[in-house]
Amino acid sequence: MTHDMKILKVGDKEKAICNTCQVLVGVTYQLRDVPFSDQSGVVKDVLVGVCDVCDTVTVLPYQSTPKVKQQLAKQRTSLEVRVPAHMLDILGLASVELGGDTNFIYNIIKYYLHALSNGQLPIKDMDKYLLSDLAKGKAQKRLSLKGKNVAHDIEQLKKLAHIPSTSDLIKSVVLKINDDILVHKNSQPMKFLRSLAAISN
Amino acid sequence: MGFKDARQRVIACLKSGNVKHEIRNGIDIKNLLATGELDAEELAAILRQAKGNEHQSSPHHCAASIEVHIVKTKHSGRNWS
Repeated sequence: MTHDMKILKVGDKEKAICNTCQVLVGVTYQLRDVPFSDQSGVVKDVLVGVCDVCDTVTVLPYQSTPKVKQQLAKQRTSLEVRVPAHMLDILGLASVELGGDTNFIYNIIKYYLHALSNGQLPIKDMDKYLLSDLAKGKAQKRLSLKGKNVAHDIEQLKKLAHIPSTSDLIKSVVLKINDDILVHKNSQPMKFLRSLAAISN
Repeated sequence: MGFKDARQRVIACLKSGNVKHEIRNGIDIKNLLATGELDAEELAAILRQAKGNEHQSSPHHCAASIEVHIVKTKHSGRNWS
């Protein structure tokens, strides 16, 4: 990169095409929160060009790219949640029930996060699990989840299930896994997870 | 503007950082230059090896005075557009 890149400042103006107005408009550079197109996260307080007519964000200048890259990297690293110890035991028992090994617990929880967030499994009354006795306990153990969809699925599920806290959401998902796999032995998720366990070992 | 001239101008802009990304419904996760997953030099290399028949241009649907150039090519075993 040469040194003659023009650095933009808040308040700078230029012309750009606004996709909302569908014409060439004047834009003013401002600091805004801008989401990713797949709703996986938001780049906060980033310099962008904002349409002077409709106030929509229309332009991302090159100088804002490092901040975008940083947010993306942050989302794609592992998510750590603290849960009561018995919740890891529930996941371990579920894994045994499905024919998986100790590492399979991560596949179970990631499958549930994904399937619940996109309607493949019902989310009705998810928040009620938090009222149960099994939801209690000191959060002494750490659960670390990796994967490019994890952050997106969690954010989506938080909205759908009306559970704003990530640790509460994970607790309710674990208790749903308990209900489905250990208590009611619900065939729908079990069939899929058994096949996944068979090829994962 | 022909492909070679357009390519030369784009590569010059990439080198000088004179690049702006259009935002529609958020930052396009597939725009690897905007997300920083592809850097300017890598994109310039992809463009340099593209052929004339992999390029097309047409007026922008919002502003006919602006020409839109599309290049669809293959580089290192991947399809790029």
